[in-house]
Amino acid sequence: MYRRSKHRQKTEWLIALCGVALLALGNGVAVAQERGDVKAAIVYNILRFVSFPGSKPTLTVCARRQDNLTEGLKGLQGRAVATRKIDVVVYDRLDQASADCDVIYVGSASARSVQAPTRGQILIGEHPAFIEQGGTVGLVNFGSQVRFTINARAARNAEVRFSSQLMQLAARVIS
Amino acid sequence: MRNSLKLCAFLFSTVVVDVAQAHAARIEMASSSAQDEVPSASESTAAPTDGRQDNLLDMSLEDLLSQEVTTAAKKARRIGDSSSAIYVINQNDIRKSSARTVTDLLRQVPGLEVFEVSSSATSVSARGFSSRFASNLLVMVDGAAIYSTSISGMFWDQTLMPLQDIERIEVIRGPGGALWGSNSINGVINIITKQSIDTQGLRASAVAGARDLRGELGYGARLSESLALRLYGTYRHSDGMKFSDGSDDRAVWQGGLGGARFDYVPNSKDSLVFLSEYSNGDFDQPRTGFALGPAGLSYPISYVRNSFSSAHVLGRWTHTASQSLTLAGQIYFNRLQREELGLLIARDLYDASFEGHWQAGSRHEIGFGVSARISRDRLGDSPIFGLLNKTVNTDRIATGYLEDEITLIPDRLRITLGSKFETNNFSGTNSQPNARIFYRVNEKLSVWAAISRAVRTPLLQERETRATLEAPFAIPGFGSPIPTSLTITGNPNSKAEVFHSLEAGIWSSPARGWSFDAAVFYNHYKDLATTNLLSVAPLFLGQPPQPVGVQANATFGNEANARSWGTEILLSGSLTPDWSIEASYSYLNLKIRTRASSAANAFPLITGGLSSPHQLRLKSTAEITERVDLSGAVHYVSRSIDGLRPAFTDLDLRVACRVTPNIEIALSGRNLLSSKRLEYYQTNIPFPPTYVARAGQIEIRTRY
Repeated sequence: MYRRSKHRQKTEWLIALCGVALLALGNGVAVAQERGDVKAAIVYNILRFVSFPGSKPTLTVCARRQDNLTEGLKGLQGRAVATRKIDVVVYDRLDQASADCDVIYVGSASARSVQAPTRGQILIGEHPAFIEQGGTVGLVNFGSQVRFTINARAARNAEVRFSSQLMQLAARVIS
Repeated sequence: MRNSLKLCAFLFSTVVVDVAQAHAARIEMASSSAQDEVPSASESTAAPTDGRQDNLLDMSLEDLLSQEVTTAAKKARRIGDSSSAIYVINQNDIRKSSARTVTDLLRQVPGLEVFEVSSSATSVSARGFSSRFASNLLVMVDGAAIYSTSISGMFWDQTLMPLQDIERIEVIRGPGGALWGSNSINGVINIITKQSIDTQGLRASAVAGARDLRGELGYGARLSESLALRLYGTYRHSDGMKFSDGSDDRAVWQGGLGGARFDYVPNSKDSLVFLSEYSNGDFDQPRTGFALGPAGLSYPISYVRNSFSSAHVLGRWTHTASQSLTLAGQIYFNRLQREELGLLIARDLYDASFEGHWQAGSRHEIGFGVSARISRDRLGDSPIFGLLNKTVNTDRIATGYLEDEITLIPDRLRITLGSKFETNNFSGTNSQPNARIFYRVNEKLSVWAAISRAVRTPLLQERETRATLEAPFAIPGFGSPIPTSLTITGNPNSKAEVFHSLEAGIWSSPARGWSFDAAVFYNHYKDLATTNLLSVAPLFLGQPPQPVGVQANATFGNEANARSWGTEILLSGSLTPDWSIEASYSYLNLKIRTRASSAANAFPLITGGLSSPHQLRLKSTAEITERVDLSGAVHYVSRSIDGLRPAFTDLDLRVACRVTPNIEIALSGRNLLSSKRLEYYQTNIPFPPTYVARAGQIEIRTRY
């Protein structure tokens, strides 16, 4: 009787703990989704301050299916940036990304894991050393807030111009 | 009991998980419709967004960067949603200005009066009462009130934080904007510095001008995903102002500041800030007094070298208890030492506060807070200046506020009812209620109105000090100013000034990218502080003694009333995507009256005569090319109310070139329309008036 009761108690505590763990997990899911929305909105705002060479009618944003932010980026589909409309294209692997991509979001991968950006291309990523690795724009988590960093040299090499206002708002700028 | 706990834990977790999953599901549903056409390797998406993401996408980048994920659903309040006269100086304004100091930045605020008194003093006031010693404007830096409660006014020259680290300055004209403090009857200036995470890497700026030098240095690092720091410093040197003949006034000022700030965000609900600063410097001040020579009485001018130092630490904790409840606690300590005219002002300030914001259902947003403040002051301790019958004075102040913003029609009509409460050990207890109403006619037009009661509690100098001044004063019965040795003794029975205000405002967006903002106000002031003359006797000096003037004794009282009304109008917008302009006009009508029964021997402490009825500002900021910015500002200030200071117009121009993305060089000129101008005069001090000089400067900013 005693052993059974003790076992039952353990089971109950386990269920309760699972509940608490689910709570944390569930809350984590919600926070992650909200963070994704904020990040997507930040990416959209950054693109509004970027001048790309050429005069294509669309601005192609490429992302990997597996990355959390990809869902948020899909929400930018059809949004206007200056005279261009955003077209979000999702790939299974980044090496499938075509040369038509104007913006490549690489998630938490290293900037070195993808081809160096060509003319008119920018790389956006979340690796802690993303801009030092040659990435163009890094997204930085700080607690529940999001910041961005800029590699001005990578932008210049790709003949992409960032407005001075954007540079001012960046948490860090390297060149 | 134990089972109840377990049940609670499980139920609670289940409910929250449901909410979280529902939220996640909503996003999933929205994006799942994107799967209609799936190419083999890639897919073009057409995901409709939910309303929340639409809100986010409509926000500015600056707003997004300050967005807490846990409160992302909460809509940021625009100026057009505000029920008070608010103006914000943002990072772009700061970056494109030629300001040398925080007070230079404040010159662009509609309705604010900013006058340079000397290299060590600036007069800043809103809605009248311009004075070096004005004490009706609350000034806060990162939530800590920094104005002096002993000798009235702000030591603006000690506001030395790097301009490059300021995120924004919010200026609220009128009494309702402040939740804290009894000395905010005419407005609040809230200076907010950047979080450490926003200032990573090395940043520096150097300014060299004809009369000023300034250097700023900052280094920031993200030590982990939850901890960031910033180390920073500033040095400033000023050669002072000019006399009417163009010569230097010899009031050299120099000082520096060093500080460190840590931001720690251990989880999504808590954030902590720890900030520590130390500054010191010294400055010259002219001093005068009686001297009897063969040619009679004169006022020889000598210069005094004063020093100042200030150290403070601030800790703030913010906790998001839930989507609807946010709590914040703060502690602040400041040790200040300063000399004015060679006389000591020393203060230890201890301040602790706790406040919260609760979204109580769909209709009520409740704000509440309590604060305790202890100020220990030592003053002067010399024959001409000091405390009355004591060496140290301790003021204890407890304050609180409670406010309820009630939504009557969602997103359209709301009223706000609230009050501040204060009790202290020198003027008793007071309450400061206010009521506001906001109505949004449509997306492009909103109106608001407010009625407020506020008080200004008597400062230490009005209650507990003694001071002797030797200067020509207008003593009743003597016609023109007469040489006077005036001894003013504090009055422990000084009362709080009582203030009632009616305000109304309108905000509209007449065209895309343009906004029009106007406020009108009517203020009534009761029991304004006065200097009350007690006795007048002949003054004899020299050997043998000869009559040279009068010996007067005075104290402080509350024998004046005042009323003012006026308006502030602002139009701002963009002519092209790269060219924005801002035009503002303000009008002030201020009348101060001493009570008839006391008119013969009582004089308002602040005459109000230095304020100007009309001010006009025009500001233009343009990106000429991708590398070159051009900005300019014209500012007209009409003749002062008392007619003693003439009207003036000034012009500032700045051209900046970004040599590389990391280096900007700027050339700027201030006060270009005249070689010098008079902004401020001190009627009671027989010292030649000092003028603001035309000046040019070169500035280099860099970032790595």
